[in-house]
Amino acid sequence: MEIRHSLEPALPGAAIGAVAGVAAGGLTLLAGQPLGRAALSALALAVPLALCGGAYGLLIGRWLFRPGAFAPVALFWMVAFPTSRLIQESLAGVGMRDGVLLFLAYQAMVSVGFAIGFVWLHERLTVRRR
Amino acid sequence: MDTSKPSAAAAPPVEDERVWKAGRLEPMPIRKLPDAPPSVHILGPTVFLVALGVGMGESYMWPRLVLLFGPEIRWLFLIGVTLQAVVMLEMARYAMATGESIFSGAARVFKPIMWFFFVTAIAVYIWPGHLSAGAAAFEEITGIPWVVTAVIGLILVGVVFSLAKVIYNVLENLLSVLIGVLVISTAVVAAMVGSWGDVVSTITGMFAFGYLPPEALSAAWFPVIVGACAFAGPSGMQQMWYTLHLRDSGAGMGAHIPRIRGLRHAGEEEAMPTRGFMFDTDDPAEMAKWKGWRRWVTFDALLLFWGVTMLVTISFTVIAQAAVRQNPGVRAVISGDDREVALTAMSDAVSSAGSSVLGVVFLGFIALIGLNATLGLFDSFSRGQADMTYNFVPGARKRKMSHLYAGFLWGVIIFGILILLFGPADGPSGILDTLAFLSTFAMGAYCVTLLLVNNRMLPKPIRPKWWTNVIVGFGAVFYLGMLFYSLFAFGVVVD
Repeated sequence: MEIRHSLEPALPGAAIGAVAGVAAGGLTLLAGQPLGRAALSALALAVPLALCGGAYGLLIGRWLFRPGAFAPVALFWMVAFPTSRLIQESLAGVGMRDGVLLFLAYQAMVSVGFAIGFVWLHERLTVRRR
Repeated sequence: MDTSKPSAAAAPPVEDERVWKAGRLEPMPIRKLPDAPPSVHILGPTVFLVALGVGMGESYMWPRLVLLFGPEIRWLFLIGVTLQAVVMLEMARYAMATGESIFSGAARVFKPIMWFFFVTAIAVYIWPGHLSAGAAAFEEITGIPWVVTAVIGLILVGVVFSLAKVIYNVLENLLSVLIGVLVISTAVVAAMVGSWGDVVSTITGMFAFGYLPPEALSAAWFPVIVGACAFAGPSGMQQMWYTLHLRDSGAGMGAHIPRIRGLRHAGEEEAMPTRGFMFDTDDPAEMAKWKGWRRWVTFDALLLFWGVTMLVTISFTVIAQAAVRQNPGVRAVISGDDREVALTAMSDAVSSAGSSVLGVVFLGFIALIGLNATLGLFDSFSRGQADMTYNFVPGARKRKMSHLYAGFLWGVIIFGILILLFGPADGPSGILDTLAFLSTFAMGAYCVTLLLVNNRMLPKPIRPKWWTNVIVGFGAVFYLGMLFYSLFAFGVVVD
C-alpha cells in the first residue's frame, strides 16, 4: 500500500511517456514491417519513455524540479529522450544515417519540443487528478 | 495618476471611489490588482492562441515554401512569429491592466475603429471554408465525406459550448490535451524521420535575412508569400480575441469580470459590468504585482506561443524535407495550387519516407489542427461579437452576455451548415479577394490600434517601452506594406 502510494506521482508522466512511445512505435506497424518487429519498436521506445516520464513525476518537488518550471524539464529530456531513442534504434531501428553523435545531437534538439508537450500534458493531468 | 471622483450616484458605497478616465467612454473604477500566479504557469489562455495560431501556415504553407525556395525563405517566418509574440504581449498589456477587450480599447480611442473590426469579423469568419482542410484530411483517413464530418463537427461544437457551465474551462481543457498530443506526436515523428542535416538547414535558414529568389518576386508566388507571412502564428483577428480569453481566464484585472457561461447555465451568470477596471499605478505594491503578471505573460509568449509555433513548423518542415528526399517528384505536385492535392501529396511522400501509417499520421495532424482551429474560431468569433454587441449596441444589455454569445455561436453554425450544403464554403468567389485583403488588412490595422490604445488609454507607468512601439509599428508597415505592394505591383491580393 505504501509503495503504491509513493509511486502514484509517477503515473501521469509514465502514461504520457508510454502513449508517446506506443504512438511512435505504431508508426512502424503498417510500414510493411512484421507485427513482431512493429511491437518491438513500440515497446523499445514506450518503455524507456515511460520510465523516464515516471521518474520525472517522482522528482517533482525535489532539487530543481518545481511544478511548472520548464528549464529543468528540458534538461531532463535532453538526456532522457535521446537515450530512449538510442535504445529504440539499437533494438528495432533501421540504422543511423549520420552516425551516433549526430543522431544523438538531433534527438537532443527535438527533445526540447518533446519536453514542452510533456510538461504541458503532465501539468494538465496532474491538475485533473488533484 | 490622472484620477478624479465620479458622481455620488454612480459611486459604489464601500469601494475605492477613484476612477481612471480613458477616452470618452465610462471611466474605469480603481480596484485592487490580484496577485500574479506564484510560479511560472505552464497552462493558461495562451492555449487558445496556440490552438488558433498553429494551423495551415505551420503545417502546410511554410513547409511548402521551404520545398520550393529552400530553407532560407524561413527568415520571413522568424520575423512573422517574433512580431506576433510582441503583439501578443501588447494585447495582453491592455487586457490585463483593464479587464477590457482590445475592442473596447479601440472604442475608447475612436468608436468606428471598433465597428470596422466588428464588420470585418463577420465578413471574414462567417464562411466555414476553414473546416475543409481538416475535414478533407479526415476523409482521406476514414472515407467519410468531408461535408458530413464538417456538419457534425459544427453541431457538436454548438452543443458542447451550449451545455458547458463555464465555457472557458471546457475549452481550455479540451484544447490543452489536443495541443499537448499534437506537440508530443509531432516531436516523436520528427525524431523518427528527420536528421541532423534537415534541422540544421531549417534553423540556419531562419537567419538568411533578406533572401528572396527571383521567382518569389513574381505575380504567381509573391501573394503566396504574403499569405504565408500573415499565417505565421495567429492570423486575421485571432490576436484580438486573445484579449477576451485573457479576461475570461481572470488574468490581471480580468479577475473583476464575471465569466461567460454556456446557454444552459446562463441564468447563473452575474451581471456583466459595462466597463473595465484599473489598478492604482502609483502604488509600488500594485506595480510589483503588475510586474509579476507581465513576467507570467512573457513566459507564455516566449515559451508556449513562440516555442510551440516554431517547434511545429520546424517539425513539419523536417518531415516534408525527409519526404522529398525519398521522392523528389513530389516537389512538383506540392508547388501546385490545389491545397487538398498538395496535402495528399505531402502525406503520400511522408508515407514513402517512413511508412504508410506515417502518411495517415500526417493527415491525422492536419485533421487535429483543423479541429483545434474550428473549436477556437467559433468560440472566439462569438465571444468577440458578443462583447462588442453587449457593450456598444443600444439595448443589447437587456440580454445576458451568455445569450448574445449563444446567439452568435448558433448563428454562425447554422449559416455554416447552410453554406456547406448549398453554397461556396470559402465565400462567394466574387468576394474572395476582398476577404483575403480584409483578413491581412486587419492585422496591420490592429497594430495601429494597439499603438493608439496602449499609449493613450493606459496610465503612463504601464505604457509600452519605446522599442516595443517600434516593433509594433514595424508590424503595421510589414503587413500593410506587403499587402499593398502585392496589390499594386502584381495586381493580386494574397493567396
